[in-house]
Parts: sequence; structure tokens; C-alpha cells
Amino acid sequence: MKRFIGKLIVFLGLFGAIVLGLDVLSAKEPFREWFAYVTESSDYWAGENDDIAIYISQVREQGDYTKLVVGDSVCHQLTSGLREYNSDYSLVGNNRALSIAGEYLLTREFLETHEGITDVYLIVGLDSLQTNIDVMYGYQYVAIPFLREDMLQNLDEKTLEEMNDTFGTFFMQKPVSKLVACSSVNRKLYLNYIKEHKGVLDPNPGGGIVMSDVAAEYLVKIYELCGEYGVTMHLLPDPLADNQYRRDQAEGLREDFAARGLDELFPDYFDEIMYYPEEQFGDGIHFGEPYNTQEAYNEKLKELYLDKGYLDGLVLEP
Amino acid sequence: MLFNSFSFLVFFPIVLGIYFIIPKKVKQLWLLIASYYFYMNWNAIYAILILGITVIGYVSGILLDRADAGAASDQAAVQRKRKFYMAIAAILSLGILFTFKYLNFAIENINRLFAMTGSSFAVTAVDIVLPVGISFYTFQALGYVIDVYRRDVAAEKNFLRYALFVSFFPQLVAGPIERSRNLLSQLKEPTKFDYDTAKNGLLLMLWGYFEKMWVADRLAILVDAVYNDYGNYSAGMIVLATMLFSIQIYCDFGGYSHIAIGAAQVLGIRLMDNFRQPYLATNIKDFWNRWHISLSTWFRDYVYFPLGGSRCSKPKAYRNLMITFLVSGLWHGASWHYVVWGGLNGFYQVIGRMTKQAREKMRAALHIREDGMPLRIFQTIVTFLLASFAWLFFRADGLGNACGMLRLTLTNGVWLRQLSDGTIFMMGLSRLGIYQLIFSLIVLLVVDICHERGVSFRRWIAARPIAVRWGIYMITLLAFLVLVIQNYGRPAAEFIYFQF
Repeated sequence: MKRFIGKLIVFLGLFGAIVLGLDVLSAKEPFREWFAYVTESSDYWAGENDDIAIYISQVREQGDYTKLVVGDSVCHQLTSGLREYNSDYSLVGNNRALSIAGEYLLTREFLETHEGITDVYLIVGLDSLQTNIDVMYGYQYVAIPFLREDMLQNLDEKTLEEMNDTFGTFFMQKPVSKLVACSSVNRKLYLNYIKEHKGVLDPNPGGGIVMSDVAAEYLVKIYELCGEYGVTMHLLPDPLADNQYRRDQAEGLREDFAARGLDELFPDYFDEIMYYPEEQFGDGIHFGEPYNTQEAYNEKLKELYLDKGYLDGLVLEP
Repeated sequence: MLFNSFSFLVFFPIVLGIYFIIPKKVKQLWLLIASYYFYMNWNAIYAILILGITVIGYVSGILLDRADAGAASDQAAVQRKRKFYMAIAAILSLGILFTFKYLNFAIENINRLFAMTGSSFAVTAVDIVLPVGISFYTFQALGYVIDVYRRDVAAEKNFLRYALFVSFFPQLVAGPIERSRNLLSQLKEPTKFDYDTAKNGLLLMLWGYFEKMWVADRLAILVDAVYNDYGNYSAGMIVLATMLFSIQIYCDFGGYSHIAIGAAQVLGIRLMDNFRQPYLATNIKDFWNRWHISLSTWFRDYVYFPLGGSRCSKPKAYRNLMITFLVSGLWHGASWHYVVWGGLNGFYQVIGRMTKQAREKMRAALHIREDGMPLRIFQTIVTFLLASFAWLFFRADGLGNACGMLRLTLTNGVWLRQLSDGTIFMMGLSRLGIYQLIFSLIVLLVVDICHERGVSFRRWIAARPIAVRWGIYMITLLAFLVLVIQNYGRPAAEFIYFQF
């Protein structure tokens, strides 16, 4: 028995070392793709052009910018096509999956790397106000990219603790997150693991329509950060599909918004929501054909923001 | 707790480790606790059920023994008493099995009969869940009582030992259905750890995992795609899926058995072989000597022989065969398509017997050598096709679907479509998965042929130097790791025979 256990320990030790070595290799070129293929993990590869890294580099990009626009994917849809025409506006619409905490990190990075900024526009829909740093997307869209760029420590202690709790302190270490990020195999294993063991957080655990704590907290933080830099912050709503669900959602969130005192900082957000016919939206959130041209977006931008005095000076055409 | 789950990979080493370090007198108790824990993982209530079956078997054995110790002068009275106890044990055990497994089937058919007569009377079905493994341990316990009744074994006086015999976790939920002669006697004397035995046991488990994970689970994806939507597939695909199911169920059940036998072997307990390269059989009788050996011998010893076996007129022998196989079909599931499957296998054997002399004469007339390879290959293929045809009824979701698939296969003239147009790559398995499957099937065939010829891969590996042995183990484990990663995110596939 002792002989067996001894041999077993040595065998398992050797095997473990080989597996660890192969795991590290799965994150390196030119082996990455081969490992992904053999383990059927190719779908989990975000690629070198993963979106969040692009957004981070965009907020760091130097230029004559005096204004920043950040927000969710609807903001991205409406404004990303205007980047090349605008030297005054840094247009960094991104993805709801970043959560408002991610928008805070992008805003902070922009303000720290630029001078003479006058305005920050945060354009988000109601779903963004309910988004937490959840197990489904939080690790990929918040933890990995911001850890890689050494930006995550700018979140407050409470948020970092919650992330450690959700994702595991081990996986919140930069080298480990890099190993997960750079290897499809590790992504597949880790993302499925946390999905299995942590489940998907219910945005409405109490049953009502409420904001996420992360959204509430970081809206205030962005506001205060802008205040520190002498910058005016504007919270603007996405265009919404006109249906009962959205109307009920707006009503419910308006109440919670006010209960949290956020209406004092952003008194006009809910009043400025504009509803458009449902058929204009391809998936209920983003504009679909034939309303998904830049021409159509420009019309919306005028109706939603420019005609109300927001985004002053935004160039809509070359 | 499935054998192919993470929980079992934690459970088994713990049970093993503690088993070999605790004193001899508590080893049985430890295995009993572990076995009940294993079973209660499915549902804690099940413990009451298996305890009930255990008590029935134990008390019956004791009563049979005591009846024997009664007045020697009145043998007729003794025999009457023994028959009575045997009958009570059978009624109670089979009654429990009937309640949980066949009651709703009986109700369904009674209602159908009433409906056929135009009556609106209907019995309400009972909301009852089939406890996993009930068919296996009920038969195992009943087999023991019959053995005591026949005086083949003495009644077990130690309740804990008997309880362990019924609930021994490696073979609890899907066999092999052990005989008291074999398992109970081994439980009397707990074994010490033996390095070679443990190593062989682990290798057998590894082979079982290969059969289950590399072959059965992958084939299941293709088979399910066709069987769940057969109307959209050609006759050729239905035939291919049926043949693949033959291999799937062999590897699923055979894999489970190998894991069970291997796990027991690591504990120093030798369970009976349950499969012996069944698809290398040259006739259906031979097939049933190689397939689910523990169940087929159970039916042979406790149903077929008591009916008279073949030691009677030919018509009665054929009747006995048909009854045995129909009952075997029903054992597999409370549905008519299982009965048809069993009946078909019985029918094959009856026809086989009826035509045996004619076939021998024909071979002699054609100068075909009985022991020649061409004949053997031909017989093996025919046996495989016959078994596969029967499996269609087993796998189909009811008799209606089975007949539908058959009708489509016979009337749809399109056979080759979908077999060569790449459809197989769009049925849920990636191209890489298909190639891995083909490789696995080749490995399976080679290993089975080697085993048939008495060549044991385990013995071959054991004879290599340590570096070669460890290299083989590591490559094998890495291959499993790759498979686990490929499947990660999908739920662990259950073993087919758990539903029985």
C-alpha cells in the first residue's frame, strides 16, 4: 500500500506538471490555435482585437479632445461611425457588459490622460442601469481587460471584494487572468465553471424593477470624478422601443432612481427618454434595417440630443 | 452519483483510502455506509426501499434455514413451509418491483382495454418515480433467496454482511447482478491491499471510462439526432444510426460494468464478467452467452431452467425460450417495445434451433468449413445485423415510433442520401469529434479481437518497463482530459441501463 501510494503521488505530481505546462502553452503562440481546435474551445477565443482593449486604447488616444462620450452598445451603434469626423469628441460607445463600473474606469482613464476636458456624456439605456458585474460577462468584460491594463484597482474596495467573491481571488490575479484571457481552453473551463457554480445573478432578486447597486454606486462616482476635474457630466438615455415592457421598466426604475437620490444629480434622465416604434429595432434594443444607417442614426442623434442642446458641436458628416 | 462525475472521482479514493487503513472488523460497516451514501445521492428516500428489499431477503433466508432445522421426520411439512417462505419472499420483492416499475404500465393497458370495449371507466395513474437500480438489486436479493431455497448456499446470518451484498456500491445501480455464491463469500473475508490487483482494477476502470466517454457518449449524439427526428432522415441513416446504437449500448453498459468490476477489484473483490465481446458472436445464442451475462444467466437459472429449459419436447423448449426472453424484455422496461425486443431475441433463438440441422447440412453440401474464417466473419456480421434490428425496437421511443422507422426504412427508396453528403457532420458532433469517434471504434474493435484471442492489453502494459507504462498512462489520461474539456459545459451523460 505504501509503495502504491508513493508511486501514485510521484505519478500524479509528474502528470500535474505536464498538464500545467500544457496549460501555459495553450496561452502562447503558435500553440494557442491548435489547443483551441483539439479541445473544441475555438468559440471562446476573443481574439487579439477584443473589444474592451480597443475601448481602453480609444480613451487613451491623444488629440484635441475636450469631450468624452461613453455608453452602451446603442451609444456605440449611434456614434462609432462618427469618430473620424470629430476631433473635439472622443466617441467611445462600448458595451453594457462593462457595467457602469467599467464606464467609470474608462472615464477615469480619459480624464487622467487628457487636459482641458469640459464634458462627459454617459449614454445608457435602462438595461444598463440594472446591469451588475455578473458571472456571465463580468469576468470577460470587466475583470480581464481592466486587470491587464492595471485599471481595476481604481474600483472601490467593496466592488473589488464582491468581484473576488464572484470570480475567486485566485482568478483576480493579473497573471492568472492573463492565462485565462490568452487561452481558449482556460476561458472555456473557467467561464463554464463559474456559470455552473455561481449561476446567473437575478437582476431583480426582490421581484421588483430595481437598479443594480453597481450602477447606482458608479453613477455617483462618475459624477464626483467629473466634479474633481471640473467637468460637467451628462447622463443621457438611449432611444427605446415603444412597448409595455419598456414603459413599465422606465416607471419602475424611475422610482428606484429617485429613492436612491440619483434624481438630484440627474433630474432629466427619465423625462428625456424617447420611444420609437418597435419595428425600428432589430432585436428590441438596437436599430435594425432599414433604420441602421448612419443617416438614420444622425436623425436620431438630432432628435434625441442635439436639438435639446446636448452634444453641442458633434459633427455628423464629413 | 454517476461514475463519470467529479463527485465519484472524489468519493471513490476516499472510500478506498479509509477502507484499507481501518481495522478489519469495521471494513464491512464502512463499505455499507459508503454504499448507502452512494445510493442516497440519487434520493435519500431510496435508502428505505433498498433496506426493505434487504430485510425481506435476509428474513426469508433465515426462515428458510430454520424451516430446514425443523422436524426431520415431516419432510413434506418442511417443504411446504419452505415453499411458503419462498413464495412470500418472491411476492414481496417482485411486488415492490411491480409497484415502482410496472404499476402505471399495467394501469395504462387496463385503461386501454376498457377503452377498446367502449367503456369510459379508467384507473388513475399513480405519481411514482422509478428508483434507480431497483431491477438490479431486487433480482440480486431474490436470487439469493432462491439459492437458499435450493440449498445451494447457506443463509447469511450476519445482517450487515447481507445488507452489503445487496447494496455494494460498484454494482448497485446497474449490475453485474451478483450471485451470493460469489459475492457473499468474498465479503466474509475482507481483503488486504494488493498492488497488482489494484493496478489492474484501475486499468479496467480506465477502459470502462474509454468505452463510456469516448465511444458511447459520442455515438449517443448521432443516434439521438436520428431517433429523435427520424422523419427527416433517409433509410440509410436510420440503418446506420441503429447499428451505431448497437455499439453505443454495448459501450455504455459494458463501460459501466468495467468501471464497476474495476472499482470492486481495487477493493479486492472479484465481480463476475458481464460482457465478453458480444459482437464477435457467431449466432444469437452465442451473443446471449456474451451479453449482460449476469442477467442472462440469472434468467437461465431462475426462469428458463425451472420452466424445463430444453430438457423437454421441442415445442416446450421453444415456449420456455420465448417466455424467458419476453420476461427479459419486460425487465428492461415497462413498455411494449421492450417486450418486442425481448421477443425478437427469443424468436431468433427458436429459429436458430429449428434451422440448425438444415444449416449444417447446407454448409456440408457447399463444403464450407465450420471453423473457417470466411464463415466466421459472415456469421459475425449476420449476428450483428440481427441484434441491431432488435435494438431498433429497444431504442425507439415506443412501439409506434419503432414501426414508423421500420416502415420508412422499408418503403423509402433513398438509402445513400445523407450518408455521403456530409450530413453526419451536421448532427451535433464536430468534424474532429467524428474523426475521434472513428479512431475510438477502431481501438474498440482491435481490443475486442485481442481479448477474443486471449491477448490482454493490461497484461501487455504491465510487462513493459515503468517509463513505457507511465508514458501510456499519461497519454491516456491526457486524452481523457481533452475529452472532458471538449464536453465541458454539457451535462454528464447518464448510463442507459440506469433507467432499468
